[in-house]
Amino acid sequence: MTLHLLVPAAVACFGMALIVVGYLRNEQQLRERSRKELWDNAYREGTRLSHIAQHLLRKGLVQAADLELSYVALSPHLALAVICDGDDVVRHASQIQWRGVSLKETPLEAIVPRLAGIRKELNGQVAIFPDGEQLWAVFPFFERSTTTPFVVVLSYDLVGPKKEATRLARHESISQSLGLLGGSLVLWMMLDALITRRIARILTYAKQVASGRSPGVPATGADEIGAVGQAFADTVGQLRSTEKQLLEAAEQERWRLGMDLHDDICQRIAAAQLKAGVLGVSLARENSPHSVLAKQVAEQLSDAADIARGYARGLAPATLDRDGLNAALRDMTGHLTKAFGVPMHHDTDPRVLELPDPTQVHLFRIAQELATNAAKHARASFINISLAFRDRFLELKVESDGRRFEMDSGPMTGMGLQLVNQRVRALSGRLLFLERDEPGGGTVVVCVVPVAPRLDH
Amino acid sequence: MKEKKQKTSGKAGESPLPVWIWGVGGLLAASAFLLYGTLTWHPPDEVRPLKVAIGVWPGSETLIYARETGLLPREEVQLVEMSWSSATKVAFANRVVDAAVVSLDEVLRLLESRNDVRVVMVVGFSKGGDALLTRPGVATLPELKGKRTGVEMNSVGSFVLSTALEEAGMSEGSLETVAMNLAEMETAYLAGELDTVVTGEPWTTRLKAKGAVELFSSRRMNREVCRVLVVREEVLSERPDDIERLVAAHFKARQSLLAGGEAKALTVVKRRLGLSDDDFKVVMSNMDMPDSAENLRLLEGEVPPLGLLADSVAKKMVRQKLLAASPKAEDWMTAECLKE
Repeated sequence: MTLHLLVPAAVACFGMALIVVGYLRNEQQLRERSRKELWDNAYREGTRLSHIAQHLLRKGLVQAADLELSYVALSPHLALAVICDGDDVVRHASQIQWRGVSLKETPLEAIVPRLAGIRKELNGQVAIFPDGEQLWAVFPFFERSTTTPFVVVLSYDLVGPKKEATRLARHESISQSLGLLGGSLVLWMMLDALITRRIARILTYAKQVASGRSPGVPATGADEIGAVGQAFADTVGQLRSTEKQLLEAAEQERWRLGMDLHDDICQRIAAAQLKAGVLGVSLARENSPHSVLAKQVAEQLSDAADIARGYARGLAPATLDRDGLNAALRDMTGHLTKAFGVPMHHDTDPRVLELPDPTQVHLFRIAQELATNAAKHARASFINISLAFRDRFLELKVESDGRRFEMDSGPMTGMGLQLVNQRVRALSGRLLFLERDEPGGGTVVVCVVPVAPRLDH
Repeated sequence: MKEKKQKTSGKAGESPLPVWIWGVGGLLAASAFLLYGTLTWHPPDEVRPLKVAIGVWPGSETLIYARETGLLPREEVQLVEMSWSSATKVAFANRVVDAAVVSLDEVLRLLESRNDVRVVMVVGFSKGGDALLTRPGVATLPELKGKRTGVEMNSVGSFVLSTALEEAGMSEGSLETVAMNLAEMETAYLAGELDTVVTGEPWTTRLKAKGAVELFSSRRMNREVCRVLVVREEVLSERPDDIERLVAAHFKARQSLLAGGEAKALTVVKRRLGLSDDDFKVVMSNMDMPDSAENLRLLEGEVPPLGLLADSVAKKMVRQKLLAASPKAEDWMTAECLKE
């Protein structure tokens, strides 16, 4: 499970736990509050009714007492309200059907055994029984004509308020749950947009850097991830800059070695070859049997001179320095054709001479390495090298038939192609290996390098 | 040429998925959840029973009968039982109850000061149940001149008395009226404090059984004395289903009562009315309770028959100075609760 799922899920779980606990507490509180309100209401109504009934009945206003009980019926959750005389006969009731009936015959019969004690103490009582399903309020008062007190009995239903408390608590919890779900979803989206995707970009960036590419900035922004991304990009930039400097230093060193080889070793070999030739002629004149040996030494020195000049040309192509990329490629293709016996052609836009010298050097080295590779490994029947401008890019294409270039077989990890990649990076370019779809198979390697606008036409 | 492998420089980490779809979808879902959660965060309204005020009148006993037989669950409908019918009008006028059974003349009185009254059902027409009763030996109304007459003011009693006096060609002041409610009249009459009473059922039958003589009754008033179920407009719009259930329960109870009724519930009704079995039959015969179809006919149409009746009653009441003017409102009755 990813972080951006784990965090919202943890928040949602924690929130749900809080909601469940809150639901239980809320339901309990609502029940308590409801019970307390009913209790207070029962006490208030009982007290009020007993005093009013006493007043009305002493004045004989029985109809007014009836009306009072009618309005008591409007109290929430009141099941039944009655006024009983001293003989427990209902005189007035919120439900008229119970008037004139013994209290024992009404739904309030459960209170009858307690009436004697309440009348004796002459104190009103509010109580809950049985099993918390009903709340009772009994308030005695003296009517004028009797010695046994009358009683006001109110019975309230407690089951309804309990159900209502549960309903309210459930409703609130559902609302909270939906709010929490929405909040978790928003949190998930924020984490996804602000953290997960950006970290994924940095991860991809790191993989691309490891594979030799130089993507842009992996993450932007003023926050920590943005700072990490920027620092990462800066470090990679410095790394590439160092790499470029190393390439330039290596190139200079190759030039120096090539020049030394050409100007020193090749001259010395040439001198030795000349002397061996002279020695051979002298010995032949003396009919010395060693004249043959001297001639062979001269021939081997000649071969060595050719080889050394070849190395020198490879290390420091004089034509590149002197005549530019076009001439250097011509020399290089001629030399490789001669060396490997593979026909090699090149087609170069003359404007490549306007490119900066380091760029020409990099392009030459890339073409040299790719062409040599094709000649060595592809068993090609031809190799074409072209350099052309496409919009704001310069496209170097090395096309050959024969064996296709196998990316997975490892050549990319070879020293030569690693150097090619370094040069491509130094030029901020891209390197593409494409399968050639024409008969004979083969590979087309394309190196695309951005160029200054003035060079693209 | 097929691309075999490509190395390129550029922005890393581009997702191939249409991110904006997920983003917009997620945002909408989150907004919906948050919105619903926020809007419903406050506690919901308390579910309370519909409060219906009824007086002691045989026509509205259908609702008591429905309650006792389980047709009207107590947690859905709370019947507020008043001892006399004008008390129901007062409770309704003061918004203490959601609905009430009142007489048509009381509806017209209510419409004088309110425009949120809606009649949803005709409960019953009085066919002699509302009457002017006096002591034996008195044969005509003019003989009552100067006699103490108990009448419930601002109620159907005053309308019956005015009509009776009008028919007899007597003026309003020709009798000494004593204002009292219906429940008090029986006691006052039997105690000799009154010579005459203008009363309604069940007291009419009870007093007749004790020797009172009828000089005038609603039988001569051509259905002008009728009781209806009124509901406040806001209650009708907020709880139409509850009102429909109430109306449906009335018709079921009516059918059951006319068919003989369940003994236990019938006992409760008779006990409430204080009537014997025979007297109960008399009371029921003094009343015409329209069924659902008849109610539909009375309340529906371009010019509902109940509207015509109300116009007639209103004109009469204006003439009798019981009403300042005929009500201007025309949409105070509806048959929408009778459709099912």
